[in-house]
Amino acid sequence: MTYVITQGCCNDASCTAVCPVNCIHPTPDEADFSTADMLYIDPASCIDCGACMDACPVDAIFPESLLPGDMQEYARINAQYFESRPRTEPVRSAATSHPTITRAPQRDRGPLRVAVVGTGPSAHYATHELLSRSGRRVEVSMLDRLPNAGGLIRYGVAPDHQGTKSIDRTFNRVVRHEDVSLFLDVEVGRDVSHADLLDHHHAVIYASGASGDRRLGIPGEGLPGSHSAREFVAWYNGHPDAATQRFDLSGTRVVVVGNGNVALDVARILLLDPEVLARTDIADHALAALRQSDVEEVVVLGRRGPDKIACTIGELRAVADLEGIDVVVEGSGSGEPAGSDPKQQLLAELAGRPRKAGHKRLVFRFHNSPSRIVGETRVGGVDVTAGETIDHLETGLVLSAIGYRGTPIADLPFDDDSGTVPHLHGRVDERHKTYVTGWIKRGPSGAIGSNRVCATETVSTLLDDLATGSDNDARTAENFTDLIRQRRPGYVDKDGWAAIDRQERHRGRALGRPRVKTIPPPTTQAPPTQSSSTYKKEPS
Amino acid sequence: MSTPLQTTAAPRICPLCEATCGLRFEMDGRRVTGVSPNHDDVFSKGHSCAKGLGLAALENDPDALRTPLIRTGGVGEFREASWEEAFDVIAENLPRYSIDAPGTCAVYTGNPAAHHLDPAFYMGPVVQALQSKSLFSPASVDTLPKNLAHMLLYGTGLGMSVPDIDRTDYFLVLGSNPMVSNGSTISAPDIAGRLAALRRRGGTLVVVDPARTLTADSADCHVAVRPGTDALFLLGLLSVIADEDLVALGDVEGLVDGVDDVLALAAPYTPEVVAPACGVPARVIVEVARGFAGAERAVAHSRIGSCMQEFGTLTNWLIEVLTIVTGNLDRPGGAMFPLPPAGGMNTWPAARVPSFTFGRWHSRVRGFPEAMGEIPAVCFAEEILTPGEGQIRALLTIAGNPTRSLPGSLAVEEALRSLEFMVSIDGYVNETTRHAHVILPPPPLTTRGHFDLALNHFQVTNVARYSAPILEPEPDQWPEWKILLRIAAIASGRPETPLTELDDVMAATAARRAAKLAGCDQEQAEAAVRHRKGPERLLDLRLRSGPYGDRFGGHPGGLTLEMLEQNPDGIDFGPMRPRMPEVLRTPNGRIQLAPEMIVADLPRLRTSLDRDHGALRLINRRQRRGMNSWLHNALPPVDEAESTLHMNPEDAENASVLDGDLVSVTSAVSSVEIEVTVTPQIRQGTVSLPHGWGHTTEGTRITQASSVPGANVNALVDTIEIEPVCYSPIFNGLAVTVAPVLPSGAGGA
Repeated sequence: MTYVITQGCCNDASCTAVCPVNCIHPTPDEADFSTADMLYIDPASCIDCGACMDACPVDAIFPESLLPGDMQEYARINAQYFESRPRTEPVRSAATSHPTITRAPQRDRGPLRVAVVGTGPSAHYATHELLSRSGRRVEVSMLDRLPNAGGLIRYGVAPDHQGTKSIDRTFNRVVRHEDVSLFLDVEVGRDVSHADLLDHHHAVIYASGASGDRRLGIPGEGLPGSHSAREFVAWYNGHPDAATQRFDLSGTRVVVVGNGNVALDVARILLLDPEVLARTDIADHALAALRQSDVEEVVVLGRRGPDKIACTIGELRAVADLEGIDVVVEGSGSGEPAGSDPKQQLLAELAGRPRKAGHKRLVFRFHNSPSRIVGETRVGGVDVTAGETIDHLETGLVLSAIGYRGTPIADLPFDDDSGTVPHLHGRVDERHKTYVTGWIKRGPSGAIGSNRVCATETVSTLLDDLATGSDNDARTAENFTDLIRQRRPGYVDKDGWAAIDRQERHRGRALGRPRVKTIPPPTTQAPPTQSSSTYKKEPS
Repeated sequence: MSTPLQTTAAPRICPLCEATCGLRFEMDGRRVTGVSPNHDDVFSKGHSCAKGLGLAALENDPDALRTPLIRTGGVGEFREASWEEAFDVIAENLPRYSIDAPGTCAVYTGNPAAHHLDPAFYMGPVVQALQSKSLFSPASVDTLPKNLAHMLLYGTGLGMSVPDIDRTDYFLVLGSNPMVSNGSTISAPDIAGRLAALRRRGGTLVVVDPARTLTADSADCHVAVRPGTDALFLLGLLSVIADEDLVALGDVEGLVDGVDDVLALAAPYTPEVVAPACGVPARVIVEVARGFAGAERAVAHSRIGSCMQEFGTLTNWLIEVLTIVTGNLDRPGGAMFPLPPAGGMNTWPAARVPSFTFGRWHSRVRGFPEAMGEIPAVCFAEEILTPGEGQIRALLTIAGNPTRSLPGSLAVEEALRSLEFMVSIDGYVNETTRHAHVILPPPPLTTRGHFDLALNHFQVTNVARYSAPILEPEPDQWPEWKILLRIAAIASGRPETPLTELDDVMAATAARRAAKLAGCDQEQAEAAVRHRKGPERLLDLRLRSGPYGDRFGGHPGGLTLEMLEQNPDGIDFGPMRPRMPEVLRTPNGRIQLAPEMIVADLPRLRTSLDRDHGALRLINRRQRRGMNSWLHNALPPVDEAESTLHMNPEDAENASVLDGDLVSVTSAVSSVEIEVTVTPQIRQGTVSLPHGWGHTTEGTRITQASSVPGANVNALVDTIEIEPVCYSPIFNGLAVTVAPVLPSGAGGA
């Protein structure tokens, strides 16, 4: 027998750390780790010990014999990964336990104080790294401009993918640590400055993600009815900045540009039975709007062929067998061999499925690029280039899902081409001990767990830089808390957030939902400051 | 002088659990560079698990001690010392307790000691020299009810019946999660594969457990009983079997007394009577009874969950009764008795009326009976803390962590703190050994010979396997048998006695016994093993006088240690064979099915039928990479997720607890805080925690374990409310309350 990794894989490689025979791949040391859809267990070398199942933070691993019905395919998907990468090393354990296992810090030196800006996955992984692998005591101040912690766990992951969100249990464990302080509803650049953070910490890590969008760069993009998918995601997830947004769901068709995971998330939410969504933590205003929706078809446009589909196998499988929804594959260039890639095989299979009357449709169109969004005062349709021909798709709503993009951070350099902060192994400025991790560091890519490896690099750099730093000074948790109290009375601390979180989940439980989100008033974001002259922009 | 390092691989039996898998140690010079499964092993055939393959990490753990430590101040303050310095400190102190006040030094042996040859052979002289009757081990916490039930039925505590898992058609498992534990009191490597094979050949697996464990999840039928109601469930089965005339003793018919008595006792416990208490439908009890009795070959097996509970002895007795009255004792596919190659209590002839190894002496404070040479572990702290004649004032621990393995941890810690002198033979400075005055590190595994003297009693196939030492010990590494003999010499007031002399005395005694068993002269036996010393010599004597032995020439071609050395993958003596009636060591050579000692506990069980089921009951949860607290530092989890309290959604809602909450778990005696996981995998009314956790950094050197400390479930367990037949603590079914620990300002529902 073997164990099998399934749809919810978070790629954070907790499993590889405990596998005694190194049969889970790619490992963080391997080249394709950063681009892997998920991690896979080699059935030929798995010894069936189950250690990975216990370590998986999102409960995505099962013994093959106990795979849930809708996950059966993953046995094949796991095995397939190794068909083109046969393993030659013998089944044997390592000489030591894995370095990603935590070790209690020595507490014979004064604490190192680090501010982490952001409370999403990259911020949590950075904090966890700081707490557990530095060999010394580290105090971490986590800050977020929103009154709710979680970043894209709360505001990005789709509400019908609660399994993916269960990584928050791991993150809550980090926040609960006695050396972590939480400062929510506190905005760097508005309430405190970068210099304030440095006054009270030995280093600052920006883990603030990417809150902008890549632009399509086609005519009509600015018309009402044309939005970024990011805005739509923020809206249905109850992000305070998007709560008052309106999306026109009165048409029967929505066009989504791009076929990555975000594209499939929005397509699913648009097509799912609202009664299914009612059992999730979708924002109430979004649920109300979706109940009134007339959308019957979502067209997902892919510039390239099906072999270059951007979503992961997990996301593709997640749309393949939804109740009441047909998946239609157009423009796949029938005749292209499916090969051994599980996504191509699935697309080929979907292309051959019959449509059912009364079903809604998720239509994949490949080799289709939007050339123009058409409309006078608002969106009326999209012109789509497909090879030599131009199609016109009538729609009142176009969602562009071609990628998030980082936005500049006050007092930090910014590379406008990549939408990231220039850095070397996570270090932005050695003298001022400023670092980045996550999407603002490497751009918007990878799964939630990819941020772990990213954070490991940044934290290693930080600790190397600070290895010889001073220990005893006036930077204390008390002083920083006093400053925040002064600057932002009424900020939300660890206990306050716990209260909000518990209240939301209690309300949810009473209604058979994971949580009922409270939606705070929109934040007032500080205008991004231009790159200060003390920094030289590095080539990206 | 530097010699080029050579990479080699040596077969090695895993010393961690009952599965005793064959492994291969890859060596680079003296360093273990990797561990792999040994596909040529006659017993495990290439099976291994995360624990066994973690042995390299264990051997190379930077926190593991390599040098003796001597206390320099408070708890946990040590300095490194030479072996002679360490023994000097012992010599200055230990005789005060072994000679001046004999019996005031207690001995605690941990689970690992039961797996190793050295303590198995050399604890005797230490105990003798200490003149101590205060021996403690976790056996009286987790196994004694089973030992006692088997002792009363078959005559010895260790010679237990073993389920013939490979040939049975119906396997009923209670209080055991072998797919995670790898099996206990059954030695069957790759038990998951064996269970899968059972089902492939059309057999039935039934798991009785309050939690839907991995084993339960893989079974044909999971009976989610309330904790502590296994005995009622079993009586329910027996009442159906009696009522429907399904009794058939088979081959043991003429050997069993009291069958009608037992059936009469069971009759009132009909499925309808017991079902409400068990929390399962009566129909399920009827179905299991019919399935078991109707199967061609059936066997029931019980373990930890059945032992560490309120009705442990009754439950383990009823398991055997069920197997016996359905004709499944001592036949293939039923419960059988292995024939251990190094012999044991149920292979050696009973020279006279066998002694019943229970209640031969009693504990000082509460007068609790000895069992198999040990005082019940619930007495440990009070024997140290209660003033008076014979108060324990010194302690020797061997591979044991009583502060995390015994109930009433707070009292145990207090007791250790109060000791005048403590010596630990241990590889770590942990919650227990931080209290020691001297810590002596055991040598690397690679320098030890390995043979499972005790666990061979549980093998589902009769195999003999021996792992020879891979390396000679370095000058600064003391073999454990020498450590023990040196302590024995010190304790007996003759510290200068050469160890070889002491070893020769032991060998002479063993040779006399072996010669008698083999039917030859003592000189002949001694001559045959003269080229050996230490545990290897004693083992050779046991093997050659054992059931397959060469009887020192009397049975040419028979088993010797040399033969095992030449066959490092082991020798297979075939499947278990019927052993009735010679296996019995009961006073009259028969099976008394209704022992008065156990039957007398039935009225107490009867009263539990009317119990209110409102309270949450705590049970234990087995972990794959854990072995009590032993492996927590070398094989730590990635975070504390695996150590959480499991709680049913309904109970969580009633307690206003949310998944991921920090909760307090409170028993009658103490309280611990831990994160909760809300999961339907555990039945309503039950919560579970793993054991051995609650690690601390204070005075310890277990940096990985203490970074993922978990909660110490043992602190919750009482030493007053105990199972009254064998005086075991009650871990499973402990009444607790669970409440969220709310940060100030964090509201509830």
